[in-house]
Amino acid sequence: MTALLTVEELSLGFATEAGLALVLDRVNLSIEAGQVLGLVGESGCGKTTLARAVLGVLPPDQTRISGGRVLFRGTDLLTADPATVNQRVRGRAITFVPQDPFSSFNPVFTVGEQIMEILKWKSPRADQPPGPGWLPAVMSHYPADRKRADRDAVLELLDAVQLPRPDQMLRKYPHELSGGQRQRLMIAMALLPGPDLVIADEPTTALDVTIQAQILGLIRRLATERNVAVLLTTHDLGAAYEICDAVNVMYAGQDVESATVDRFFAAPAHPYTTKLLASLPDAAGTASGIPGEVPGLITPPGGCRFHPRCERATGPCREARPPVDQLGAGHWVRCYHPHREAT
Amino acid sequence: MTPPILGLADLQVHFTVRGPFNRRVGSIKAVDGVSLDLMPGEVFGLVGESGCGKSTLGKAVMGIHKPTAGEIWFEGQRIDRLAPAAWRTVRRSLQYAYQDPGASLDPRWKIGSSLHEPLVIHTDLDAAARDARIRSILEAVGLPDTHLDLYPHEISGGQQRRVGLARILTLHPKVVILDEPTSGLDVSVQATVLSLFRGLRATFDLTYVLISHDLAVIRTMCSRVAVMYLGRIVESGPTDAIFDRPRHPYTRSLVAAIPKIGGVRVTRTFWLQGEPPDPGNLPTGCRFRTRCPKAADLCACEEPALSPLGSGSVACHFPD
Repeated sequence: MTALLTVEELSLGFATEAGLALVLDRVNLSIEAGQVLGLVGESGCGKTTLARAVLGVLPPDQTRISGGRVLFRGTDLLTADPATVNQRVRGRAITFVPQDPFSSFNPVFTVGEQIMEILKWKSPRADQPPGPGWLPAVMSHYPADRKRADRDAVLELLDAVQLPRPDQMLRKYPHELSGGQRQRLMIAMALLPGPDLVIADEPTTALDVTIQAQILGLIRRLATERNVAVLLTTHDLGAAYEICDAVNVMYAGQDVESATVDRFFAAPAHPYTTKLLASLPDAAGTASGIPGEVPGLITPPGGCRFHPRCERATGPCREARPPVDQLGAGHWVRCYHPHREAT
Repeated sequence: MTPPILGLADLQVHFTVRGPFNRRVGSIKAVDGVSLDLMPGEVFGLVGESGCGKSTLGKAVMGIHKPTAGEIWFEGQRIDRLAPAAWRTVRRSLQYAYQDPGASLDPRWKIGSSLHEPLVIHTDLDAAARDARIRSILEAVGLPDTHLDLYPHEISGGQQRRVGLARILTLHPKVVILDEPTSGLDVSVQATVLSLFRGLRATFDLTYVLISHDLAVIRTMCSRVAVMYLGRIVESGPTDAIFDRPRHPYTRSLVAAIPKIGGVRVTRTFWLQGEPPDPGNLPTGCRFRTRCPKAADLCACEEPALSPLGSGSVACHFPD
């Protein structure tokens, strides 16, 4: 089975006042159609940057891509014609669920207006965007028959994300909705263009635990029913365990381990992964934590960036980045001294 | 039996909702009749979803929100209507750690100045004595002396928590209210911050009230837990009893919603539907009945009182 999306050896940095911050260092990633892939890591590890790089929405002035490819159905999104990507891929084949449902809606329009606005441009029932290209976007005409079909699709999808009374919901303003309702709307909006891949950036961090369980269940169910692949970035290992098929771990801009979900939690190999799992609070109160701090990315440590905090680190770890080490089917680790006894 | 260090009796904090022309159009019952006793040296957990009134409860104890009704007792003294001067002496031993330490430290002040401030207000120590006190506290929370000359934005989130805690501990309080002490922290940092809390409790002989929506944190830290829903305590008791055998349907759903790595996937079995109702327009009778699978006619007309059951108490007509 060929992968839907493959990121190969992607390196990029941001130009800052203090110098170039090396945010991604030769990162690899691969998602198959219909798969839910968890991208796990702590804040500042580059998971959101990677998600945004796939979507192509990083600030162009500051971003310096120094190598690698982002292949979506065989096309490199980094070198493809930007207009084609914008029309065919971004917002159509790849859509996005943001982290914060509170600030992602425009407060002065009803949610219905905002959803129809998306469909005016990105509806699966339209090959061409409405109106001639020379007309300002706001003035272009939205064909009435397509608008009606789109509206029916919206109502049907709002029902699928378990929002009560969809037609009333569309007339409400964002402040009238709770966080869980807004996140359901965001998921519905991401699914409306009929995407192959949804990038969900920490979709449940702003939500309460009972609502989180509902939303995660919804994402898993919709992904399976509609055969949509989901790239779920999260710092919550519990959320990753709940709905992911496979998990990729990142640390300080480097990918350190990738495994199927069962292997990941049963036999973690990278020292960082094992320590991360040991940091989870437990009833006995023995959670250990990881001493030290995440390194700065302007002058990151050489070799494996985890070596200053790693008790297994030796000479080679400081010199060069460990190569990919295949431990089993769908399980690789980039470490010179992985935990092999568990595998 | 030792007397409780902090006691609440039927505490109510209501916020008036005002409409056009400043007319009263209703009230939000953020805390609506909460009674609890805090024993010296214990870690008491207060759990609930956002909007359930747990932070308001903590702030009412601190005198930040004025209680609408009810009593607050601290070391045998009623403190909810003290004169300002008397309040100041009480406040030294009763401290509140804010949810976001990054936002509660003055961005233009160096860490050192922020740490001096409580001592300037509450004590008459001279600068040298204050400095000695600060350095010893800073060492206790695991920060180097050099941090005194840094600004809040120059240190990480975990370190900001430590500074926020150091700032409170300089006054040697007896009770510390920790409001969401680990929200916004990564798990690896969270684990070290939690073990710091445990260590400081032993060193400084503290009593904690830990307010959190994170049940995993509550479970590792607390000896006793109260679960709040829309301004009321629906269940309270020893931590193990609450987590192993929750009796209120809401507590059951909360415990069931925690992802358990290695266990059954919660998303396949989770049964609680809907979201909390609008706190300005509460349902009649039991507040949980709109989402409760066990709701019956009795629940709609009569609000259940918190009554003892097993090792804890529960406010439900049909507890498990």
